Formats: sequence, structure tokens, C-alpha cells
Amino acid sequence: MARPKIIADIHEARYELRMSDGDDALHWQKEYERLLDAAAEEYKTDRLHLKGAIAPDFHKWVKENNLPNLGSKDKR
Amino acid sequence: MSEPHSDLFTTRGDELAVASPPRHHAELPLDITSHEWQWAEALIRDVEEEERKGAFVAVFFSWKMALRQFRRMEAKTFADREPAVKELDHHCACVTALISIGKFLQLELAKPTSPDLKACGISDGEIEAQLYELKCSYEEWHSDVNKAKIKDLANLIFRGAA
Repeated sequence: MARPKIIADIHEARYELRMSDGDDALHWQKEYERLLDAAAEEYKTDRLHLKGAIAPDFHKWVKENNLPNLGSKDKR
Repeated sequence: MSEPHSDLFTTRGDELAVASPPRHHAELPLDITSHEWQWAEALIRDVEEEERKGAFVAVFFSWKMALRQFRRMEAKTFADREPAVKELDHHCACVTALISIGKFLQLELAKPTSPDLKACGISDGEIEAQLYELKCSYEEWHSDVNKAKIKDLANLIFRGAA
């Protein structure tokens, strides 16, 4: 299954948002929204449908990249 | 006081021991996550108990701990397969409770009479971002959206279909 780069970038911003503490999380929230808007424009859809379409792929992306468990306190 | 862990623990004399999971949980691999979701739900009920006591700093740190367990369960449930309806129900119950507690913390932090959260280094920005992330999780799995449209869009994105 091909994963476009913009979707991988959205997953990365989402992962960082989850893993960040303090105001860093806000920075990643803005980055996540910016990328979501760009992808929504590219695929001629809205944020809500885009989120639903890529949600199952997010956890696969985390696993493929051997990233620490999302529930872990330790960051990469 | 409620006993949120009453279904998971049993008392043996003065000791508190982990109860054996119901037999059907041990036999069906899919239900392993059901049992673990119950742990996440129990953690959240503990946080709600602290909320009732007004122990706001404890609520924040317990909320963060419950968030970690919730995300662990999300990763386990959604990584390799379609989640079962029951698992989605557990997910919905947890995510809505965590959003509610986060919103409560945000309101508490905004009160001039509750400065103890700020003194402990707890920022409104962090709570806001985590709340946003939880709302995204809710929207992704529980919104009333057109499922056929989502499927077509996923095909378009991941398989390059027209």
C-alpha cells in the first residue's frame, strides 16, 4: 500500500503532538492542522473525512517506523 | 466512595489480589483487549474520583497517566486490524471521559482562585493540545460521517485510485 509523503508528514505531526509536553504540543497541533488543510485541499475533501480516511493508517505508520509506544513516557 | 477496581481486584484476607479474568476473556484472543480496556476505564474512574474531591493537581497527573494507558490501548486495538464493535464502544467511553476531565481541568486552570496548577508547571497550552488530540481521536472513530465516502477517500489516498 502506497503512503503519500503528505500523509506520512501528517502522521509525524500527530505523533509529535501526542508525545510532546507543555507548549511544544501546541506547536505540533498547529503543524498538524496546517498539513491536514494542505492534504484536504489536495484530495478535495474536508478535515473530518480526511481524518477518518487516514486514522487506521496512523498506528501502522508508528509500528513501521519502530517508534516508541504512544503510551510510553520516553520519546525517541 | 466508589470502588473503581472492584471488578478487577479481589480481597484475600487483608491482601488485595488481582482477580482472575473471566474465562471467556482467557479463551478468546480478541477479548484480551476488552479486559485491558477495562483497566483503562478503571484508571479513568480513579481520576473522576479525584476530580470529585477537588484534588486538581492529582487530577492532572492522573489524567496524564490515564491518557498514556488509553493511547497504549488505541495502538494495540487499531494497529493491525479492524476494531470490534465492543472495542469501539470501550474506546468511545474512554475518550469522552478523558475529554470531559480535560475540559474540567481547563476551566479550573482559568479560575483565579485555583493557582496551584500553574505553580506545578501545568500549562493551559498542554491541556488544550491534549484535548484537541483527544477530540481528533473521537472524530476519527465515532463521528457521524459517510462511511462510503471515507472508504473511497482511503482508496484514493493509499491506492491512487481515481
